[in-house]
Amino acid sequence: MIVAVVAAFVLSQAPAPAPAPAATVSVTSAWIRLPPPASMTAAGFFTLSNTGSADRKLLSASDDVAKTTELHTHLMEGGVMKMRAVAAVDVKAGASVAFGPGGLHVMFIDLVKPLADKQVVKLHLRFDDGSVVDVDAVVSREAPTTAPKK
Amino acid sequence: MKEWALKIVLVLVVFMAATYVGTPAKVLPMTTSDCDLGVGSCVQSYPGEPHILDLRLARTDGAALPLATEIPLAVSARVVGGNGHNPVVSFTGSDMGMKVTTVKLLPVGGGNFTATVTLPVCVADQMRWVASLDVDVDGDLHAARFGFVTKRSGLAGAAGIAGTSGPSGSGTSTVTPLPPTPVDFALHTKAGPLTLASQKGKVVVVTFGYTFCPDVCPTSLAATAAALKQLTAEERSGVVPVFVSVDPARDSLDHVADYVAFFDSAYVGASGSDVEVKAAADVFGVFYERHLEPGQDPSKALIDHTTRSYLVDKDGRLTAAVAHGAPAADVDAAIRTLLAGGSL
Repeated sequence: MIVAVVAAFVLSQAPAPAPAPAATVSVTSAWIRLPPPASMTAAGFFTLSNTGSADRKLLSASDDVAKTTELHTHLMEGGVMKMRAVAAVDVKAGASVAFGPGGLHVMFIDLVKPLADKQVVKLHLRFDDGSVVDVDAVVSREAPTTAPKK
Repeated sequence: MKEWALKIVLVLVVFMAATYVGTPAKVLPMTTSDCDLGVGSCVQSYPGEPHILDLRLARTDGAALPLATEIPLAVSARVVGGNGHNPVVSFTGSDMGMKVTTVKLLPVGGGNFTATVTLPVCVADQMRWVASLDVDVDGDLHAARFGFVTKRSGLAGAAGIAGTSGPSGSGTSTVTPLPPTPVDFALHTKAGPLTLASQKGKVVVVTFGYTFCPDVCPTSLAATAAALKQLTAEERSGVVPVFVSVDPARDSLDHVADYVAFFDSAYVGASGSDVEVKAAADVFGVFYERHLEPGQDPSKALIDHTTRSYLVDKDGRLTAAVAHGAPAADVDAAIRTLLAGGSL
C-alpha cells in the first residue's frame, strides 16, 4: 500500500495536467506497455480513485495514437484467458479501481504509428457525469515502479 | 460376368469397405464412472471384443490439491489384441454440452499411447465429463467412451475479473512437471519449416498466442525473454524459445518474426495453416478460440486462449508446463535441469 501510494505520488509529479475542475475521479500511475514495433495493438493501465461522494463510471478513453480505443477486461475462465470489451468501468464513491496486466486495460487498436519507449501519450478519460480527465501515460517496457495494488 | 470375376469384385468391395477412412466408427457402449479426478487418477478399461481398450487420466499437478480452473492431465491409452493407430481422446463437459478439447496420443510402444492435456474446468462445483477414445484398431475405427467427474468444494477457483497480474488459478507451483511425453509439430517460420524433432539436443520453450493480443501474450514473451537473459551465454545457446501464433489469418510468418524479435533475438516465430496450428495446439493441450462480438469487424477479433508455456527437453519430450507469470528464477531452474539432462 505504501509503495503504491509512493508510486502514485512519484508518477503524479511527471504528468502535469490537472484534472478538469468537475472531476471527482483522479487518475494515477498511467502507463502503456511498449509493444513490439510490428504490433497493431497496445494496452494501457492506470489507477482510478473516486474522491467524491457519488459513484462514477468511466465510459471511454480517447487519444491520438490509435484509430480505436476501447475499455477491456480479462476473464480467466476454465484456464482460458478471455479478453472482452466493457461498456463502462464502475468507480464507487471513495473507492479505487486499478487497471493492470491480466485485468482491466485500455486497448489501443490499429496504432497510427509504432509507440516509442518513454513516449508520453495523452489520454482523455470521459466519465458519466460529463467530466473528462486528461492524463499523461508513459510508454514503458514494464510497469513503472510497482504493479497496481490489489 | 464370370463367377471368378464376380468374386474378385466382391473381395475388392469388401476390402475397400474395410479400409475406407469414412467407415462409421464402432461405438462401444459407454462405461459410466463416478471416478473423481479431483481425488486421484481415473482408469477405465473397456474389454471390447476382441480388443481391450484402457484409458488412464492422471492429474499432474498433485492429486490431492483442490481443483483450480485448469487441470493438467497425463492421458494414456492402451490397446491390446490388435494394432492401434492414431488414437485421439476428446473431452466433453456433459453439463456444458460442448467438446472442450481434443488431443492426439503418440505411441510409446507396447500398444501404449500418451499425451498431455489441460482440462478447463467450469465454475460449476461438480462436472460430469466424457472422455471419448477414438482409435483405429486393425482398420476398424473404435469409439470408446468413459465417464468421470470433477468435484470441488466451494468456488475458490471460480472465474472472476482479474484485477491484478498473475491470474493463474491455483497459486501452486509455477513450473509444473509433466510425465515426459514425446511431442512434435510441423509448423513454419520465416526461415523455413520448424519441427520439434529438428530441435533435439536443445531445450525448447513453447508459447502459444497471437500478435493482436496487447497484454497477456507480450507479458508471456517478455517473461520468457527475461528468464533467458539470466542464463549464461552457453546455457542460452542450448535453449530455443518458440512463439506459435494461433492466428495465421492475421499473423504472417514475417509479421510473427518481427513481433517476437522485439522480445529476444533468439525467439523463433512460428505458425502454419489452421490445421497445422490446431494439430500443434492439440499436442500440448492448448485451447484457443476466436471470439467475435456480433457485428464486429473480423480483423479486430480477439482470441481466447490458455496462457501457459511449455518446456520440451533435449529428447523432444514435453516435460513441464509454465504458468503465466511464473518467476524467471523458477523457469531458469527448470531449464538448467533439462540442459544438464536431468528430469524435473
